[in-house]
Amino acid sequence: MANIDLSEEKELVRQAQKAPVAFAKLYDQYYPQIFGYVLRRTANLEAAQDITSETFLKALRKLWQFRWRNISFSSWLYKIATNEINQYFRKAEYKKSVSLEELQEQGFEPISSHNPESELIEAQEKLKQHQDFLEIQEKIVRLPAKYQEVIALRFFEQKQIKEIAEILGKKEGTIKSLLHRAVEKLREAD
Amino acid sequence: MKHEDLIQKLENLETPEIELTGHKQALKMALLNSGHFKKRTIMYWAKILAPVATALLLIAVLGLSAVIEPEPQPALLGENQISRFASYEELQDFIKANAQYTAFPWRDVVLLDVSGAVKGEGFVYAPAAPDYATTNIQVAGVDEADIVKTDGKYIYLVSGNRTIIVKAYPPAQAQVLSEIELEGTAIGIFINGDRLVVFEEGPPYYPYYDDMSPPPFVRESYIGYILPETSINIKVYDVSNRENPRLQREISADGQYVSSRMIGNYTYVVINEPVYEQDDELNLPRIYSGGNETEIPATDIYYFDVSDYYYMYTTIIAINTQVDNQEPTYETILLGASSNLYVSLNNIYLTFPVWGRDVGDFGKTSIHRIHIEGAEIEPVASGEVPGMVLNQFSMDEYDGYFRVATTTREGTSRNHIYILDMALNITGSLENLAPGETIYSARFMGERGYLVTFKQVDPLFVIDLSNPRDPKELGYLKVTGYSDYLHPYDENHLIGIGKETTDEGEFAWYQGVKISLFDVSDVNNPREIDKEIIGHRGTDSPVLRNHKAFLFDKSRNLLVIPVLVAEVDQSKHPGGVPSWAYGEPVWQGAYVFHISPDAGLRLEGRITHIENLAELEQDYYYFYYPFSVTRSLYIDDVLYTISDAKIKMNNLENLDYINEVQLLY
Repeated sequence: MANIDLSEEKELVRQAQKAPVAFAKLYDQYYPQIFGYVLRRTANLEAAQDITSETFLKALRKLWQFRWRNISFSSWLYKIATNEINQYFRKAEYKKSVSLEELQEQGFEPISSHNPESELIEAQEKLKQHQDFLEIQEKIVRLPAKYQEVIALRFFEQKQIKEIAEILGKKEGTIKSLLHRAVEKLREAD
Repeated sequence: MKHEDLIQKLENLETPEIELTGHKQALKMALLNSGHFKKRTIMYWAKILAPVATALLLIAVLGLSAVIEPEPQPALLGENQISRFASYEELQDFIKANAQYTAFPWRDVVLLDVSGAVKGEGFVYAPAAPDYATTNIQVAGVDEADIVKTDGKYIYLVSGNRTIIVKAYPPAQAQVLSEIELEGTAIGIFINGDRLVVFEEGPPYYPYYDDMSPPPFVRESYIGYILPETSINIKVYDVSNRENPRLQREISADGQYVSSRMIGNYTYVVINEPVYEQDDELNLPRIYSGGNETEIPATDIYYFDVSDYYYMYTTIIAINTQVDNQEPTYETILLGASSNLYVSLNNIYLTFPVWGRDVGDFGKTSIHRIHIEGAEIEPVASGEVPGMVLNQFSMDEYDGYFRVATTTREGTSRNHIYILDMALNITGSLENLAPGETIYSARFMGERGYLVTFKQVDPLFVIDLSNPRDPKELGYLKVTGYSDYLHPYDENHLIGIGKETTDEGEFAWYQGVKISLFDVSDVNNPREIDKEIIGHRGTDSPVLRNHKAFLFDKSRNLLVIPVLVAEVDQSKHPGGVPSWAYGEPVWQGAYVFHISPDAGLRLEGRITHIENLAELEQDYYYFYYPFSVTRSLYIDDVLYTISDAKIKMNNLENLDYINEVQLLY
């Protein structure tokens, strides 16, 4: 995955709060990763759209807090997305924040109904072709969230342990042992 | 399978890489339009973060147990009765027994109109036009604060932390006369003779960030980020000398400005302040006036016996703008977070959603009527209707009845009209209109009501309200597009401003901004007699969200609206332009129309404040841009268009340029 140069990213994040052009650039850069991550966690196109929308909306709102947390911007987005995904799995019905609905009422169509139908059908077909993935994904989502997170981030998103630690706000040692146990649990589920 | 093998399998697994370009593009536009980029003022923080801060504060004071373990049962509550607390302890007990802080409704708190709300004159048609335009208000005689006001000779406007007085007429002599700089953010003004009322919101105005660090008054605590309490100052200036306005009085309160109105000499301000507990003590609302601080005692606070997730003190202050030494009067009611308000000549109606057990699960709206007359403020009745209220235009008072249009969203959305008596008991209703659709705009005009609902096409419903016990649907019209704002042209014609859409079967794509002229003289068969579509998908107008940006004068056949025009570059779509393609912004300014039932809509011309269009294309993307026209008005034969950067004057007859006044230095 192409990454923006770190100093460029820093500058972009600094500007993104006031300059939509900068925000748009960050968005373009990270949307595919975040959407992909959410889709691989949920295997559900609808949910992936909703959760990705929430993630970026929250990111936009909390942009000013970002530097304080001292993690990379990408990790920060993954962190928000992870929280949203966990919420989605916890609740029967994933509640979208009203703010986004309000936005829609102010003149934006429901974002999830936004795709040309053909695109959605095509995406659905593409997803179905990944049978091996879907099979294992089905087992993964039955594991507790703490295991799902590490497996997805490590194997599907191909994140380094250090990055996973950053995203989940845990120590690297903790991530390693979580990962070990997660794989064990998944193996048992097989 | 062995541990290592599983790891290897996982590492080599082919995972889906899928992209939805439609979603990607739509979300991007929604984010860029979400209002975050619009104003370079501290309002950004205050509006968006204050509810968060409140929620954090609630967590802080209630402890986590309250957050996780809901109070299982609210105390048994009676009918929606109004009473006052007998003591501070009773207030405290009430809060403890009823507030269900199980989840944080701050997500759902809708703050009311901030820099301008909604709209137009009521069914009383524009009074024989004096020679200048006033703010487009909902109810004749009930003025609404706005960012621009005129008295026919001067223009008063606010921008950031400045209030500027401009000599506007005659245009050849137009110039800035004076400027009042505030510590906080100026959010709206009223002008009443020689008195200028300015609403200033704290925390201190913080012009802009070049740095990611938070403003100095935000502090970090172990639970998160705590914002300072917001406050509202109401400043009354004597402007008999427009070159030297003098501050006559200042009245302040903690909390957030919700809305305000001016009726006769009185300004009414509605302020919300969350109730929170600290060191076992509840905060009480405070008013500061003329250097004196008054804490409103619990025994003066009204409450309705309703259970809620959390509570707000809603304080209404009445100020006589003309008599400086008359003390303000005020009343406080303990309510939920009110979400909309409508004000008639004698009543303030506050509404708020009634939450169910889950956040977001709200099927009902609670309504409270507060009688106002001069300095008197008296909460008198409360009631409840199914569904949610869209905005102030969904409400109306006529001939002793209150009418309200709502949408319920459980399962299939449905739309309803309820008529209530002054005790707020429902006397009549018309339910289940347009299943599957939701209300986009509403307008009540005397014995008729108009409702625009939308999903794929726009039905305009005409409703007979002459019998408050039996409202009836008279007819409807289906056309493409929808209206976000309805304005009466006369008793038989309506102007609708919204968006054009393309019907795609299951859904619809929004296209350019659409202006419609409807003929409703045959109530059973309303007709669209003319329409005008501006720009392509991505075109926008503030009128869609704020009626105060709308300028209409029937006697002059004049309609002016600010528009940001977006256009699709056809060369980028060699195979034909798909209907979901967004245009790029190419122009911003005021569209001036001639409007009449006979001649329909005719574009007379456009006025922009932008000197360098290339800059717009490159930079604009809907964010704060000082050259965006936000309001327009006329004095005599001069059309004034106003942006943060300047006031431009054009001849109303032929739109020839006359003069301009720079507002940025």
